[in-house]
Amino acid sequence: MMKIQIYKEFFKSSNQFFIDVDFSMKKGSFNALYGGSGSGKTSILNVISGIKYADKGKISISDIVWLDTENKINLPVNKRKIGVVFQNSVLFPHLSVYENILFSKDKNDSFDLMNELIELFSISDLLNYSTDILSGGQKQKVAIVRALIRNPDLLLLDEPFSAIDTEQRKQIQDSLLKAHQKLKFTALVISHDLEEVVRLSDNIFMIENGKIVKEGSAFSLFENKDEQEFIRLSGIILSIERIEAVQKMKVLIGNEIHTIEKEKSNHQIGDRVEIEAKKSRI
Amino acid sequence: MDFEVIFLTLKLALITTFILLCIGIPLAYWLNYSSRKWKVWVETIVSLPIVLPPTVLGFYLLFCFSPENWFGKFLDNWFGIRLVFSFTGLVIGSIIYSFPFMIQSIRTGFSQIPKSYMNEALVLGKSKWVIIRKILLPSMKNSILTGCVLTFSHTIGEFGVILMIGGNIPGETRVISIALFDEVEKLNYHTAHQYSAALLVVSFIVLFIVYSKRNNPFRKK
Repeated sequence: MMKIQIYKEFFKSSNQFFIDVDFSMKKGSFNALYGGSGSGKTSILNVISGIKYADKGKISISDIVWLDTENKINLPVNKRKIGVVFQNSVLFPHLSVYENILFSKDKNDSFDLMNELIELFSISDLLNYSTDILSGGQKQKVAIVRALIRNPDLLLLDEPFSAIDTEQRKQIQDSLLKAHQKLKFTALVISHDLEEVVRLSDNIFMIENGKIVKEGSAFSLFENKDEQEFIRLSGIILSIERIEAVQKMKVLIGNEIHTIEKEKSNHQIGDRVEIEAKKSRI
Repeated sequence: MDFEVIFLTLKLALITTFILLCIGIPLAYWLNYSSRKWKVWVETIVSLPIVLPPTVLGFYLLFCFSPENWFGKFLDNWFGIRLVFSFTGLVIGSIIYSFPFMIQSIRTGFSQIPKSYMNEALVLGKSKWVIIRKILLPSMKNSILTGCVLTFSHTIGEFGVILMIGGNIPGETRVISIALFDEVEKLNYHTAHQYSAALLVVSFIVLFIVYSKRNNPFRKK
């Protein structure tokens, strides 16, 4: 079990913000911290990883204390057995893909695991490449493999797929889930993408203004919410049919075409539109 | 042309560059990453030789190393070391004189490395020593090279400090810049030309290396 209590105050453009969270994660579970921009998700990740310090707090995993501000314990970042995949992970440019992965490997880490992960994330063809020529998705795959070969107690993922196209994103998510099944590490993914959160995690913490407002499985959190909650979708107009004051638009959202009725507007075919709809209607 | 002069000059430049490289990397790292308030004192002292006339620096070093004064006397009495008019004194003078050239170049290299490199390597469980050795230094090799060649060329061309603390002792402190001055004073222009040409060629080669390598340190070759 991993227990996390964090209190931290900070300033952003002279406004005071704070995070005040207290939650725990079961060993081997895949968790998500879900919330909008500025809700404090990344600050929490930075404190858990040890990159930032908390004003008050306690973080422990099994019997190992990583942070205890009362007793002035703060295990350095490099002593915490973690893997972190940032939104824009840095691959060191003077090293090849393979050297980047190897840099993370300690003497005791297994070569078999490394090779298995390389196969699982389908990056064996990239190993001799310079990191400059990799796409965003390929870079994130390498970053995940590099984080996992240490067989971390906790894997932290900070919006790791936000800059990757849908198809690659799903492929990487599948590989990540397979790696999780095999290695049984505890994971915490930070995201504002509901689809990603539901797909990856078995436990979700919803965060608003630095506080966790709800916790549970995707089903328990959203089962009664659909009727009240609206979500925003983005799509491309394929055709427009105007009938008196109303216009019927065929809009491509994801891989599906939806028919949407709206009041007349100046939209043209090919325009990108934002649509707000009740979840239950999608 | 006396080849001993050339050999002594190159020896002085190489030793100075090597010692400054060893001191420069940790000091530049500290100057770049430390947030201590008194860092500004160190920065000022390190940069002083850029603005200070070499003769002023040479005069203070001569004063300090002289066995007439407490530091020189201390070295003489306890260790039997005399730094004035000796090669060791020249090395120390050259190190102080070229300090800013090495430190500023390496510090620029550190400052160009994004902070995310350090964080990324730390979360991979690596110690700061490993990160410096395997990530930071290889990422700034052009800055290190620049520091080395600037220090080397600066030492080869140095005159004021050497004249003050080293004088003109053949085989001990008579380096190329001093020999050139000496030959001109003797109206021996032929040898002076040879020394000048040697300095010119070395300076050109050194600067050529610096400018051909001075590009973005993060660009892949």
